[in-house]
Amino acid sequence: MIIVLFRTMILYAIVLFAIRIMGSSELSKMSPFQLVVVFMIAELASIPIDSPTASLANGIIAIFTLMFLQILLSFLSTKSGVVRNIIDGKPVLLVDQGKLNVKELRRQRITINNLMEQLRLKDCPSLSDVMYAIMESNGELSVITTTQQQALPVVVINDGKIYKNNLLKAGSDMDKLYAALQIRGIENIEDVFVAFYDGNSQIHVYPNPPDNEDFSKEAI
Amino acid sequence: MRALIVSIISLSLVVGIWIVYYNYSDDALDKMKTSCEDTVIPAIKDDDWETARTEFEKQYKDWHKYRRAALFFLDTENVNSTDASFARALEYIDEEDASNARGEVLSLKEQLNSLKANEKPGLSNIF
Repeated sequence: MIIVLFRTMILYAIVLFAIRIMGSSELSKMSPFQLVVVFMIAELASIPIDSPTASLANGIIAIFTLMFLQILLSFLSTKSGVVRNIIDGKPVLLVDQGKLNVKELRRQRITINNLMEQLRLKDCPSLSDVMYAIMESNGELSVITTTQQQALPVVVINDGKIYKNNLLKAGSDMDKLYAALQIRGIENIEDVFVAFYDGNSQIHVYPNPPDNEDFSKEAI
Repeated sequence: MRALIVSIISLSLVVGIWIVYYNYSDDALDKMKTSCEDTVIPAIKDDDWETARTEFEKQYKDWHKYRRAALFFLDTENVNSTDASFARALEYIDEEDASNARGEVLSLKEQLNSLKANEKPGLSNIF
């Protein structure tokens, strides 16, 4: 019985270490994929506790492997849009500028009853008051009403990479983008951490912070 | 980036320790199997009980040394059942009971084979 006590303490420390290393983004607003990984870690930790004859080392190796894979995929998804779309999926516009996207609703297998229920839960019972309704990659529905916004902010640069499609959606082009960056004293796209157009078609640019700083201030 | 480095180091540490154990285990189990096959079983067949006993006792000591490391990586049940086989085989050899001794040592050889095969990274183990 005392073996179970020691194993529980060791595995508690291992799981705590794994969850801390994976970061707090793993605990709040988890995507379905992240949720599965956390459940798997919990299950793997419980096996050596339930069964004292099972090898503790096997459980620890499995937990560390999951932790490594989860962090690696998170890291790759910050560097590559393709990986991000595969792992997290893309947010989906169900209502775009007040218009209902029937094709996406069918593709996502969301009935109008589901949609109306989610809108009521977001304190927006009438579809006609919805400007944008976005199904986020974690399954949550974000609602922007007609009184709140005229257009969605659009990210055009993310970690030095330009999103050309988004640039067109924002009604801009490469020349205007480069001109806006030059006005702000930025010569290279790679120096930009994030740039987006807000609802009033104004560009906001956040360059990469200097080496000895953690924060990025908007370039004006 | 820091989280990625820490996770790589953690995983490399446990996998590195496992690799060291696996290499040690491979050699140790091979030695015990070969000794059973090439020395103990022929000695039992030839009724050379002195040789069989001496060699088997040596392997039993080696098994106890190996067991201390194996318990960290293998299921306790597998290790305990091999333990029991060793004890039974030694007793049969002491009693000069040829058929039981040979049977038990052969069974032990297969158990040592299984201990080795179950840890080998291969398609049959993965799937």
